[in-house]
Amino acid sequence: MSLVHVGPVATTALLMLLSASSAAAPVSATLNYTCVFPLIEEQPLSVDITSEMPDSLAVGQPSGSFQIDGTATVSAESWNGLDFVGSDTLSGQVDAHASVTGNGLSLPLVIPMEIAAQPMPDEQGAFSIVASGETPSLTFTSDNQGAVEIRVGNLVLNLTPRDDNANPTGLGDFQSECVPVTGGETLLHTITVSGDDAGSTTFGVTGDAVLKGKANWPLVGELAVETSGSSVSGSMGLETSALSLDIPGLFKTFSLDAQATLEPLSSVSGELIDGELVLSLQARIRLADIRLKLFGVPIAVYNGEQCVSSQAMSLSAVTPSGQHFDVTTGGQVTGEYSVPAFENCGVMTGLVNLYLAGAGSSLSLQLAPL
Amino acid sequence: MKRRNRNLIRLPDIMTGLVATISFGLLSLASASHADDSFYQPPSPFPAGLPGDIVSWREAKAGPPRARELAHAWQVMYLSTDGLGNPDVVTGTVLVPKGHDPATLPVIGMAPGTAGPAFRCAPSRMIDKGAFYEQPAINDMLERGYAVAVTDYVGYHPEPETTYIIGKSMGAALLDVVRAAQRLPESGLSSSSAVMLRGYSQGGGATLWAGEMHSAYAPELDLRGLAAGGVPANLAQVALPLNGQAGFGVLLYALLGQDNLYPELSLTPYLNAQGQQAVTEMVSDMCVLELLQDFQGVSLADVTDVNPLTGPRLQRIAENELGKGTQSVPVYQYHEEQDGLVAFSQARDLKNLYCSKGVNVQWQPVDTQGSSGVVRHINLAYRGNSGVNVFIDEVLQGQTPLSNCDGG
Repeated sequence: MSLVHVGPVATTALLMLLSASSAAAPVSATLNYTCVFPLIEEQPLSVDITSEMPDSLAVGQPSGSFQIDGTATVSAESWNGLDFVGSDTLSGQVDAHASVTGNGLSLPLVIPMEIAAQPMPDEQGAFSIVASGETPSLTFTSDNQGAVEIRVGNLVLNLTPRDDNANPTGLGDFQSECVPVTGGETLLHTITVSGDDAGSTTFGVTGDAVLKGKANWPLVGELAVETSGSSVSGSMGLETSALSLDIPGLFKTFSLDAQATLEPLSSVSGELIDGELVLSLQARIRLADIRLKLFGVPIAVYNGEQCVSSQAMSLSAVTPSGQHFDVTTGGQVTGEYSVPAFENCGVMTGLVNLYLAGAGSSLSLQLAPL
Repeated sequence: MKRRNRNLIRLPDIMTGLVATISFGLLSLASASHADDSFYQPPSPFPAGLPGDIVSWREAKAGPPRARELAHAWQVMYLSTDGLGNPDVVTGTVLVPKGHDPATLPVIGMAPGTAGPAFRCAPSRMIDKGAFYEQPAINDMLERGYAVAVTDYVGYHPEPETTYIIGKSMGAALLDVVRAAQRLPESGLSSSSAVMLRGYSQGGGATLWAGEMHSAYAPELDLRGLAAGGVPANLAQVALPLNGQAGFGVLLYALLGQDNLYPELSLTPYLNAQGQQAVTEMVSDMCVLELLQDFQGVSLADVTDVNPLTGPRLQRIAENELGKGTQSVPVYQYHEEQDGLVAFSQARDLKNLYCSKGVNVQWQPVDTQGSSGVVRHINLAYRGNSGVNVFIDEVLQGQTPLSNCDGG
């Protein structure tokens, strides 16, 4: 499925995060064509097209591909011509010519559709053939804001009738061109492209923090963001997880373990420009079940709930250089920060501050859309 | 197996068929195909010139979209010679594949199968609107980088008088459409281009007539080979089995075609009221599909009061038998073994006759397994193309085809 980028600014447009407003609604139209067939010349062909398309899309929001289903009613005279040459089954392919037009936009499209093999009816009469295909995904730019019309025009049928023995008939594989009886294209659907709509999406967060370069702290949670233009805002929630640090001694190794929680003190804010996501968050770290162990045996314990970093710390995370963040696929962010001193950690306060507080901490998070 | 219980349309039903076909015409035309029929009106008097000279031309469509991607096309009206040796004008289509130096291209003269007696049936009209039933053969040639010149045969004008199945008329029309293609300045084709002729059914007859006429009528053409399928070589032997059978419409059309050329022949005095009605309707709006559908099972006795197969007509039928001359270039001849429209045996007889005259003939009988003799004949209109393509490619590459006269 190829993504059709409409206009040159599609890259920035893609930064828009939207899912809520792209809800698709049923679309249907009946199109009347005149097709030219070998031998029998002009014949009427009526096509009922159904699809699901959104009524509105935000600038930069990929539409996703639309499944298009067409049921064509072929004339009785066409049946006669096909039957006379011995056709027993009919299959083929349709190129549906369409256009997407709006402000600053005139995009011709060819939508390939397949006609699955189906038996010709036994009795002379109009009959139906079914074709289906997919449109490419469309992404509109701020220049395209307003009504964007999707119209369907000519059809080119590539038909492969086969006889009782699955051989080609005397007509072979042939093309039939179908032109709307109105002479022009027929409006299938109108999409309103808006630059003002906010979008929201939720990312799964996985990664880890390393405090003072040594203490490992796996992080798992969710980041929910709203977007408007290039600005990003939202909230992040992370699960409490085990922080651990090995402390080399002269002859033995101690370990410091705690259940650590990153507690947000602000909403997440930031921006996303040219594939670079910058997120900022004020937060503090709360530690519980702090254990200093020697050979795995606790030798000092803090069981309270009050051990937190004393001041709000500023966390900032950015898409690493050379990488591209895309709301539809997510990406990585990394940052460095300083951890303020902890307090209220009982007998462990000194030890905790010695090993966990201060400059030189880092963070690496992978954001994946949920 | 599929059930085929379509009732045979006998004469009383002709009007039904006519109403159906006329109603097509009321639909708007599908695209910018030519609606102006004046192109087909022969000038009076005919302009001076030689057979193959261009009388008039206009741009046309090469067919459905694929053909239009492949080639430029023109409709031409050119001078030719009728079956009595008198000057005539004929229309046709010249197609030149894109992306080649046209001066280097071979020209394939293509003789269509039966189109039908009505003006709308003219192959050039069908090609232009995308309804030509032998378009796949044209596309095969264009894809190989060959120019194609398709004759309409004599008589497609708004008051049509098609001289259906008259050998000399068909042969001249085919040789002259190749000359016309070479002489149309817009085509860029060379007068010294290699030439092959091909055709199926009526077109197979036209191809072999052109071959027999080549040395006397168009000796300057660099003719290399002939591919002819479903050949009606002996019209008596083709026509008689059609009486009272599925192909009667073709028989009646052949009688009409003779009337349109030979001044001493007229079917009218022999026809009964039904026959007169049938002929009127044929000329007004019937093409090959209607010919084959609307007269199934009809016999001469149904449409005539007196047998029209009298001495003068039988004489003309005999004149139009292939094989009185010979072929100077290799021939690929193919035929459905159970052909229900053009009898197999008379085509095999022609092959044997050519072989006895030393002609290089590749003979290819084919079993298409069609559900009826008529369908078998129609099948090979398409399924014969692959063999024709190979033959044309080989000859144009300078190979001499292996005759199978000895083994056939």
